[in-house]
Amino acid sequence: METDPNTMLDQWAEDSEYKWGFVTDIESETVPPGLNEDVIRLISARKSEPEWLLEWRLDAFAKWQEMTEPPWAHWPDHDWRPIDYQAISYFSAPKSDDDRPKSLDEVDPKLLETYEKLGIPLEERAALAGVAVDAVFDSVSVATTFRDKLAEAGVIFCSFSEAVQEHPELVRKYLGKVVPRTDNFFAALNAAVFTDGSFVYIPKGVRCPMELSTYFRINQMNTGQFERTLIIAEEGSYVSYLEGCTAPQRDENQLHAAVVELIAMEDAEIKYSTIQNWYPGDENGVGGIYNFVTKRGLCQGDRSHISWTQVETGSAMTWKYPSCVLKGDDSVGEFYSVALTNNHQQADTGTKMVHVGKRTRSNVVSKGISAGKGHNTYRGLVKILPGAAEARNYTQCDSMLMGSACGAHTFPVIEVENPTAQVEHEASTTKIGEDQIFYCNQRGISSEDAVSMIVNGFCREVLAELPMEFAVEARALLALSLEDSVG
Amino acid sequence: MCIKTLDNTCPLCDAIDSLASQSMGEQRRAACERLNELGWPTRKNDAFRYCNLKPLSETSWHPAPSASPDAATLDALNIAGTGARLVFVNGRFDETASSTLPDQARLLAPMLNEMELDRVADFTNDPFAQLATALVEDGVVIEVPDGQELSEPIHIVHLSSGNDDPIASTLRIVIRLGRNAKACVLETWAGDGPTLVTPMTEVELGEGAHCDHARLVEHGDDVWHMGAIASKQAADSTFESVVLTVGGKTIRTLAHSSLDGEGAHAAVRGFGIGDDQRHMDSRLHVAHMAPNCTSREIFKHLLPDHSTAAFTARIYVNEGAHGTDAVQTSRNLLMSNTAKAWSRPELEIYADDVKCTHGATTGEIDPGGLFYLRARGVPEATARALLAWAFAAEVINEVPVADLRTHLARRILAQLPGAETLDEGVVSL
Repeated sequence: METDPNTMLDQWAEDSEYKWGFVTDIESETVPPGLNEDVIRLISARKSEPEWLLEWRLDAFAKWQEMTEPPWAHWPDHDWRPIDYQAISYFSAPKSDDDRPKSLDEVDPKLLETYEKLGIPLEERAALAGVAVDAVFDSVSVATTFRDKLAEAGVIFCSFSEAVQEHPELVRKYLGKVVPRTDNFFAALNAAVFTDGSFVYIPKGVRCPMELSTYFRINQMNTGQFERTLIIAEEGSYVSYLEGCTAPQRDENQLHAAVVELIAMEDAEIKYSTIQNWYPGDENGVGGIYNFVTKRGLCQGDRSHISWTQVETGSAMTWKYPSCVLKGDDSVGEFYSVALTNNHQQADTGTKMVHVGKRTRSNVVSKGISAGKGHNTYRGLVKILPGAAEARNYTQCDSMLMGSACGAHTFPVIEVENPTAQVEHEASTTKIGEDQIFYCNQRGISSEDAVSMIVNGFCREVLAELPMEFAVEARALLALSLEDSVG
Repeated sequence: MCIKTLDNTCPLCDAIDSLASQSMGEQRRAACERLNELGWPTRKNDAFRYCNLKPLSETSWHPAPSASPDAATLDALNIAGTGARLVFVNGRFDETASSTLPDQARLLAPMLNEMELDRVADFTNDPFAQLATALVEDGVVIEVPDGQELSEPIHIVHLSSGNDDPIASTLRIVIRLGRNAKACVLETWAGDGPTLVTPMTEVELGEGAHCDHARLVEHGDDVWHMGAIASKQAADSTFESVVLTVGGKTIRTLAHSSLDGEGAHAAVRGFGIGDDQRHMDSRLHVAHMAPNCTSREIFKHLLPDHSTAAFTARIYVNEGAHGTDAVQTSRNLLMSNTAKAWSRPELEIYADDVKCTHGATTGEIDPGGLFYLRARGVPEATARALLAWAFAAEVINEVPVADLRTHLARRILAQLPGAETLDEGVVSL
């Protein structure tokens, strides 16, 4: 097997195809655009991965080649810019593995500057909130804090590539267990080419002493982000994981096809919160990120609990359905979502709740806000299998419209195969009333503030599920995203 | 696919060919061609995801022969309080069993070449709608001029009656109401034996017109009822439609309603009681094309035994259709461990000043309600029947003609487990 990455790169460079050169703005190495088995072998080799993982990737790649890209977006004025999978560069590392920063001080100041600009001072946050940040810049983790404290509790929180090296038995056991490598087109692509991500393992009976947090950034030109996150919560453990995404303003479409897998054993609880603020494109719909993510949690053990909370304000197009498979008896799945689309953004999001075990419960609250020419779709499935006696689901999805050019759509699927199950779905669509804004204006509140206030009220049930600092950020983000949407 | 077998021996195709030589040649051939393109749908087709059509597609269907109705059967289908009763057997008019046609109603058969059919909704992708066009031989055309009113409801009865061969037949009902005209039309679909019927009702309402419509499905256990209802409404018109299922093997209702004029109102309701393997499949599309229209959709199913129900409905709100007020409701009561229900209440909205809500619930009989009744000395079986009846009553109470409500109540109670213990007075309507 081709083990030496440098030799491989050299060979690669010698091939006449390699004429793009390295993109080295911030000392990163990027393989030339294109996707074939060699690229996958290269990624695997660069990360010194074991043979089984390479096989796993290649198998996913073979299946991916047989799959067709889903043609989902349904709206008439849809402006789909086809993704050229051969124009994406599948690997970029901020620095070579040898001289990775060991602490925050060693992190590239330029990178920290970007964080500053985005208003998320890393150390402050980390110190203030007791948050361990495993910052992902492009595809390789560059900073990890609070490692010792976590290690003391026995929690493993590291980058995926580290986990492959240090805990291969865990990775091998659980990788692809919840999202099989051929689950769907984008999951298969991710399985073939994922470069890094986060790995969390909470041992039996441990309550993770702090909230774990990862910041994702897309910074390189034409580098798709293929993150892979795997969280395993052993019996009786608890973890809250925060994922925040921001991206610098850029003009090129980029693909983000991440996969997140959660596994909760008996009595374990996983809380997964996301703020997604990828670059949405400009007001004319130029540019922006395609965010096609597969997220799924498995409530493996009895009385396990998985909760998804997401605030989606970014991306030109989002297809994302964080789901729960409620296998253990009395397990609980939750999904709380706010999706906001402005300008030409399109968000197609929702959840799948598959009830397998007895007395399983799920709660779905989805709030969609459409402004400008944005389109927001809730697409969800609630499936009660014959064995899920006394299962319970409550789904609420509300849409708010601002302006006459936007759209709000709801496509729920409810499949009930057990009579003792109780399934309820409710949805409503409303607009911000002129009278509401007038009322606020009269009391000296500007229209902008009034809209922000009404939207925050509309989303309250979801924002309440977020950890406090995240909720603050989310509120600011909602207000920012709606600037100039009411005039 | 039945329709073109390799050796060209499909009896249904021959029938369509021979019909095409008599009338609507081009239209029939086009429909037949489209049908061949589509083939019998499978579960892979999203529109039939919950509908097992395998037995249907494996059957060799024959054109329905001419037949006479059985007097006793007709009596059982009679609904008092209606005016004219028009009886069709296997898609053909039966004069002896029918009353005189009211002034505003005519038979379709002599006008087949002049009538423009299929102009209300686009059912290009539905094989059964294509079959309905390819096979149509007769029907009723109800045209009420401006300002007039049908004095009494018209009751149209379609009976399938065959020999041992599986037979296919259809009937077309065309309702066209002028400005401020008013009509009430009831349909009864009945008959036993292996049968495929493709009912098709087309409704066009002028400004301010009002149409009440009910379709009662009373088939035997071998009947595939693959029906459609298309409506198109001008400003301020009202269309109240209800589909009531108390019989049949598989009952599919495709309803397409287009609210084209400002202030129009459409209500599409449905109630079905399951039995044995019965599958009820409702697929509704309500398009709000103009401002200030209202629509109501409510479908309820009582599901005992192995019965199943699927509800797929979409409210479409066009750009500029401000002031839209739409409500969509799907409710299923599962009465056995083997019953299943699927709901897909969908909203597609392109305007901001709208009020759209939908709700879907599926569950068993509320144990709290059951306990309340039992605590008051009501036996469990009676209490269950009573609660199930109350569940049904919400839709039944909206059925337009009182005698139809009574007729329906009798049919439902005959099928409802434990209903024999109910006091007559409890269910009086």
